[in-house]
Amino acid sequence: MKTRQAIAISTCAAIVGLSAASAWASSHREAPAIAEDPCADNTDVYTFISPENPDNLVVVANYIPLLVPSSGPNFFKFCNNVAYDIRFDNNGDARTDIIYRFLFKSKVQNGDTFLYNVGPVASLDDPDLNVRQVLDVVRLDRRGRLEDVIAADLPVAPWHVGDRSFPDNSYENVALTAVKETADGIKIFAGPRDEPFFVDLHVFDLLGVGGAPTTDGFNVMSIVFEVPIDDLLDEDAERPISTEAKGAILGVHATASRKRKRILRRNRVARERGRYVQVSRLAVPLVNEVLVPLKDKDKFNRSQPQYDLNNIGSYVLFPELPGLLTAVLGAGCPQTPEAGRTDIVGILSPNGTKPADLLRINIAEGQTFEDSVFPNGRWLADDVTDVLLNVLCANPNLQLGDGVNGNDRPFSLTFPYLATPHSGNPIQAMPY
Amino acid sequence: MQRRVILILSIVLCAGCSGQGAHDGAPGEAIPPPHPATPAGFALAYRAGDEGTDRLIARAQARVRIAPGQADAHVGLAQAFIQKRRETGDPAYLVYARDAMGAAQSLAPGDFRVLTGQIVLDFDSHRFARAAQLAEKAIAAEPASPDGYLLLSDARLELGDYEGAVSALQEAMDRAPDLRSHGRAGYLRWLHGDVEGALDAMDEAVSAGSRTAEPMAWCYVEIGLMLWHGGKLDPARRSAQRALSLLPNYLPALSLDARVLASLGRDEEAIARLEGVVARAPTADALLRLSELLAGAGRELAAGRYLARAEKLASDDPVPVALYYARHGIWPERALALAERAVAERATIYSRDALAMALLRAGRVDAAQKAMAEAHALATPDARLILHRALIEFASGDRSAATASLNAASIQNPHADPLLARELAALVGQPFPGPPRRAR
Repeated sequence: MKTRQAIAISTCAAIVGLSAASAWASSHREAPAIAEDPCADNTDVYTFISPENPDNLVVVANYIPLLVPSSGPNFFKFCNNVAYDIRFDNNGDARTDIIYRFLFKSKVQNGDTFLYNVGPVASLDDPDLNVRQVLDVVRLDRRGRLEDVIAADLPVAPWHVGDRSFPDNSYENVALTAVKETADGIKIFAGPRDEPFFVDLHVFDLLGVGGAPTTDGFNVMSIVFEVPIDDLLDEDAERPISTEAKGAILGVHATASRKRKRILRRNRVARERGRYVQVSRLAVPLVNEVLVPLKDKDKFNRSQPQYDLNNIGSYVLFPELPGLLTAVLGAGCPQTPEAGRTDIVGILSPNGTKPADLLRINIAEGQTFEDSVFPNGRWLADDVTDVLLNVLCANPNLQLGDGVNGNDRPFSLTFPYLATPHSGNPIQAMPY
Repeated sequence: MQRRVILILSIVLCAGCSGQGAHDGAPGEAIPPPHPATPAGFALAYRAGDEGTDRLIARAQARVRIAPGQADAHVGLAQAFIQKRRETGDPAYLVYARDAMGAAQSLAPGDFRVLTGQIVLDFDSHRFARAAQLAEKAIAAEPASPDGYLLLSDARLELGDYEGAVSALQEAMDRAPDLRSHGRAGYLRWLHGDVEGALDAMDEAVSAGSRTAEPMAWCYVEIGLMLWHGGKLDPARRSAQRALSLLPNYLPALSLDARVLASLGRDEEAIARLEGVVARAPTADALLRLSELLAGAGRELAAGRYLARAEKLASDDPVPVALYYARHGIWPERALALAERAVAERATIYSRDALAMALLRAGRVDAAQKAMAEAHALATPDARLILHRALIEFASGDRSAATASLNAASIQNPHADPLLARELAALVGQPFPGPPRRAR
């Protein structure tokens, strides 16, 4: 009743003409309200024992989803004022013990032009490369205090602007010069890569049909980090011999944080030092997208893994999805038992570690790259969507899938492992 | 027997399905009747195009068709129309937004996203007090989200509660230091006279970025306005151009461009820009600026027409009209009535400024001084406020203060208001330094 009246009035207003609506023409500030923070948006985390060296662990933290030319002012680089962290829990209590923090600074060589590059780019310090970015990597302890500077002013690989900017297939050669190996055997790469996640994205969009490889043709901003496993243990600790030990499990997650500021500056101090507030967080794929309801996503993004049981435990124990799949598609998912899906909780707490949304990987002596198969770590080619669907809807008579089983470009078994980003983007006017 | 199911996660839709709420029933059951909250189709009747925000609208429409019982779906549709309206300036899209919002409200009146969507619509119909109340409800519904605080800050700002606006924004900033909070911080800093800090915050906002073009374009317009207020015309114009390169025909950018062009003496171009603006979103302010420019160019008839249109909007938007009358020294009683009402409804520094001017022209100099002191409470670096103060100082007999204020205004932004700057210069016996004399 109420709605019909409302509609009648609206329709009337439209028929009367725009003049009535014009009276509402805005004369207030209309500051933007819809949330969009693309450069502080985690897209994926991967971790696996290095195929090149079984004493090393690789973590890939991807940010800034769906980089494509046609969707407006794209972010072809990491953001300057975001702290991108890869965080480790090495004793199974789901609390962060070690943080590696990646901080970016971009510089524009020539502010009079909007162009990303003014000519073909032959190297990372080619004078034609107008927009450049560098990276500092630091290690922080469990209290967030600086422990070590791992690297400073590393060049970040540039955007693959196009084939005229990187003629003769030269892009990858230029990009790979951004790979850095420190004296301590840590390898770092940061820059755009082909989006490695493969899924029918329409699932998150609540739209569309299945089987469409919707993340093909996109790029993503990637931090690829390879570190000796011994660096991730406490001092004096050794890698366990037994794979069953709690200490054999490393928990990994990635975050993005921004500095908060005082709205009004006291005494007009030039540089306000603000504390970081975490605005994004990711570990196990699809948890935030699928298990956590919309109303709690903000809260989840700001939360810490050691509180996951409290914060999202009920969503994991009593997931919404199996019921929806049954109701909507007749998938025949078994009913959630009264005590809840303790099996899912079990997957999130191997070897008796505290249940949390952490990507967990077994780092016992003797573990190799071949062992790194989701949910024991996550290799780039693992089809996590299918795995998770089948975990959530464990119908023995049904093999569920989203119909997309591989990436559009092959991965490499050498650092930095991810495929070269897609080219052919037209030279865009940069918003700087 | 195993079978492979092509799966669609969460709530499904298929391109060929006709949305009848069919999915509300279990497989095999008779299809239940359409959900009573389904909008009769006004918002759904809009035929979305293929580009940008229209695609957002189309997707949102599809979602509503599939899940008409979900308040969230209707809110998403309303938001898509609000976004379209922001980009184009065309208020007609709000009619669709209200329709979708109405459906959302009947489904879930206390829901957080329904509340925040409603607040945005309330802003547009200037129901700021109600917006503030709803914002507090939104905060109570989801204290971890920055959204309620952002909107509360906006509402308080429009009501003239600057302290409240700052404290609410700090809460938002502490939760999400993104473009939205930095952009607002920039304006609040500017209002309080901290121009360097304001531009710093806007820099943060731009660098935080957004996925779509309009919030970035909005930031560049804000930056451009701050630069114009500082008398920096070329940088201001560049900011406007940057905004337009992100979003061609973005009305706030066109309006800023017009402002700068007028300050540069390029009246014909400014007129052309403003004609484009008022054709789509005729605010009182834009109409009056256009009217003045046309009068200055000798086109009195057109000027009069736009003035008349602006006057019709006075009841919704009294401040620009009251100020126009006061600046031109016409209709003093009308100006005073409008300004008094404006201050009663929204006691901002700008409504107080309009009141001060109206009181001045009505011969009530003491009251004008009091109102002007309130208008200057934040030390806002807006040369127009300084010029108005100078006029009042002169009227109260303090010639040296008036001269000092005139000079301060010229240093701040010599292009702020040539009409009044000329009047003042004549009063205090200084040569008028500004642009060439106009016909009017």
